[in-house]
Amino acid sequence: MWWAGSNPLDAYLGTRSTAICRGSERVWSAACSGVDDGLQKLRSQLQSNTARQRIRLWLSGGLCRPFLIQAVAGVRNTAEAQRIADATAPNATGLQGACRVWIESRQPSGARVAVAAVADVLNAASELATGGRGRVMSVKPWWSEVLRAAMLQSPPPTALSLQDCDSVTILLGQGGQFDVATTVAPVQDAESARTAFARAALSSSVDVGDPLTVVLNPLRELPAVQSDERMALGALAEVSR
Amino acid sequence: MRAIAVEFAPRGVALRRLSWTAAALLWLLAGVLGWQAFQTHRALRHAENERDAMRARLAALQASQAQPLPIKREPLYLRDAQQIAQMAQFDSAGVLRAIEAVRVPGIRVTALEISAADAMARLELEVTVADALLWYVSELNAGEPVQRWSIVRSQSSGPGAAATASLLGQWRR
Repeated sequence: MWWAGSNPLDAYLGTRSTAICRGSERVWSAACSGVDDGLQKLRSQLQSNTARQRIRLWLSGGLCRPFLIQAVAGVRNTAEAQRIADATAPNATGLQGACRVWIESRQPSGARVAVAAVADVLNAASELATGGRGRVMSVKPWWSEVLRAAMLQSPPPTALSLQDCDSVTILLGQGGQFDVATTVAPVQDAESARTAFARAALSSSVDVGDPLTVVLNPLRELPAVQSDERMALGALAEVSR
Repeated sequence: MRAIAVEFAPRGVALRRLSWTAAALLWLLAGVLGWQAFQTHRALRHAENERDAMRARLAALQASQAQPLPIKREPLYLRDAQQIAQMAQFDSAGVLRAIEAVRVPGIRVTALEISAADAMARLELEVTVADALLWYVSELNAGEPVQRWSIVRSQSSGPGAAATASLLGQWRR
């Protein structure tokens, strides 16, 4: 009952931690050992809610990973591109098991961003609120929310290093194009994240300049040193540039 | 870089319910429209049948009016023959004999007109006795199955003067 309201709840699910926020307030968080444990804890927490509530579920980078699909000659439509993405997702992301892949619409530059997640996790995630009065209205990777907020800045950053409980997602590109879109997992400390980012930046032709670094830590002590309230889960994120 | 609109949520239950509701409404609308079309078609067919029936009746009426009713016309010669037969059947001589046979004091026949074609006779009388006229008429009608003679005019010019009267005898009515 303590989170009843018209604003949607933001639920974060990772393999090492999970949390629930409403707006800029963290209302619940817990450590977990694996995605199944995180799902169970989050489910029990959401089902205890007696109020009707819309829920936005944000998946960690380790559960929902981006990759790039270069233009392939002979691909005529989105369905064919989707089949290519489905086939390449396990190798491109390192995810194991049957994946569900989302791909961008056709881009002028040719390279599309694709996002893969394990299908079983997505199925369980969409039914998190079953039995309670809540309803999962969206399931997205948390780093896509940071990317959305970052693209509103002027000028937009050319490099993003987005670390959460189990991974670091690295997005590099400029002028509306992506040069790198990848997730390195497992990554559990800042040093490993910096190393992964440096390695990706070296292999890219993009001038990373002053990268935007966001660290999402559901278990950290509040308040944050510098958080961004314009994006979902901003209360859990530390932003540095 | 650019923002991406990634979404893994399944289509919401509300959206599916809305889709089913919309589909049901569409089916219902299709049913209503189909029923209205069926009714309209039936009414149109009924109107066409009525129109055809009225056309048939009109055609029959026009056909019946186009053919003039048969008029039975008697040939002219037949009419003349009937007239001749009627004239032949009238007993003018018998009428004259009856008039000559009746003698009543105070009555004098001044004129006689017999029309055999019309089967009638007209008598002009001079009456000098007051009650003689009625007596004369009764005498003329004596022996006849019906009253053939009747007074059509009786006129007196003054006291002491003779009166005049007209009698009409009819043998065909």
